[in-house]
Amino acid sequence: MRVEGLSFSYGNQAVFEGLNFASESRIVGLSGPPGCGKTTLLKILAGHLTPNYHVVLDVPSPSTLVLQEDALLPWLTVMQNLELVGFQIDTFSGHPLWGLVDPLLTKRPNQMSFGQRRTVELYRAIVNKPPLLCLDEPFNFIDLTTRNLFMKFLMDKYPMVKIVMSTHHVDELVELGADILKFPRQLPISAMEG
Amino acid sequence: MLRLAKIFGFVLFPLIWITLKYFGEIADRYLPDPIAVLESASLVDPSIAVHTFYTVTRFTTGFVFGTTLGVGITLIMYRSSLINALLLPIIQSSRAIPAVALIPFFILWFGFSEVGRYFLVLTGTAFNVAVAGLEILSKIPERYSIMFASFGLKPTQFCIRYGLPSICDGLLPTLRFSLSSSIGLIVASEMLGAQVGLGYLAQSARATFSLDLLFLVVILLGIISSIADWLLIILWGKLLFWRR
Repeated sequence: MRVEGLSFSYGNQAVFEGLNFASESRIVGLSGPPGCGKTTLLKILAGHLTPNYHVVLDVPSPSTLVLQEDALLPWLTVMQNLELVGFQIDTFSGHPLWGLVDPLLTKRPNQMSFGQRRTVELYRAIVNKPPLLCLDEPFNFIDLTTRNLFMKFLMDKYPMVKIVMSTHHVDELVELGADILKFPRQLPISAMEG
Repeated sequence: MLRLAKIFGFVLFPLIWITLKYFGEIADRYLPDPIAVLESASLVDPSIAVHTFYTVTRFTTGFVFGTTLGVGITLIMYRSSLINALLLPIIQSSRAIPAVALIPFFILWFGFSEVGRYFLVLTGTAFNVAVAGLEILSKIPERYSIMFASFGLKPTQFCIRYGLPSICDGLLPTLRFSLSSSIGLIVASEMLGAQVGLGYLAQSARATFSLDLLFLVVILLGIISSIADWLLIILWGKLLFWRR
């Protein structure tokens, strides 16, 4: 993954100014204080925001981005939310993480906790197997056991997928063996600590 | 306390009416006697129930079909940029014309037939619903638009799985407004060319200087409007099962 000359601003607020970084690692972690541009960078890498100037974005494509906010449709059950994105129960019932969503299939989002909704969202993104998986604070509200199952899966059984993940918990990134990019507190950002 | 105030709200108008009539000594030509208003119902032929039935059937039929058509137009316009570009100016400009102003056209096109009245309400409702529906769909929350892009959702799936429920989710205020407009349109069209209905009855009462009957019609329209609005809120609440 390589990014050269990245500049981006929201109106007058510049977030990135000529930012360069590169990483050979399969998992890249973004760490830093709230409001420092982690989510913005994820959106740019996933192709949902366009940088201001010509920039070299050498990242795998297409990508799946999971934001912090819940994106399950409230009128559909978990099963229907999975089917919406092409999920077929026969294909995925043998998946190592299937046990996490199986008991929730008939529930609608308003019948589940934050953690359960987050679990379904992560599962949906992971089984989609995109070349690039962008995760914004993926383990918020998720219990420790479920988090560990996801972490183990991402580390051991997901070799073909490049992952960029933002989090406030650096220990999660260390555990995943990620290449950690630390965001400074002050905007605009033109360099990050590797 | 609030519950008491709500109950009192229902009887406030009759109380003011009775007080003004019996203690204010206002002439019958300005404010009729409540008893005379009630008695006027028995003098109508066909019965007041028949007139009410026709009015209610007309506006509910036009309103239901108008809402369905409006949602359909929204989805088609959202799905096709070409159709959207072609239809939007027509819909926007048509919406600016008061639907009541179209009544003479509908009479010329359809005569005094029932079809014309249904079409009038249908048109008045459908355009409002279509514009509101497009507005709702133009504000897709970012988390959903990113999810749709991430998973490459097909347009048809988008319309059925997201578009339709999403429109329903935000349409109630427009529907409540359109419902009261529908009642107004039907009454106006009945005044201009009908042999039965509350609008026709109001027109007849005006022609015969029967203020008692005119008052009765106005009160009935108020009651019908309130009940229809209440039923719409309840039905819409049932439809939006995910909010419960």
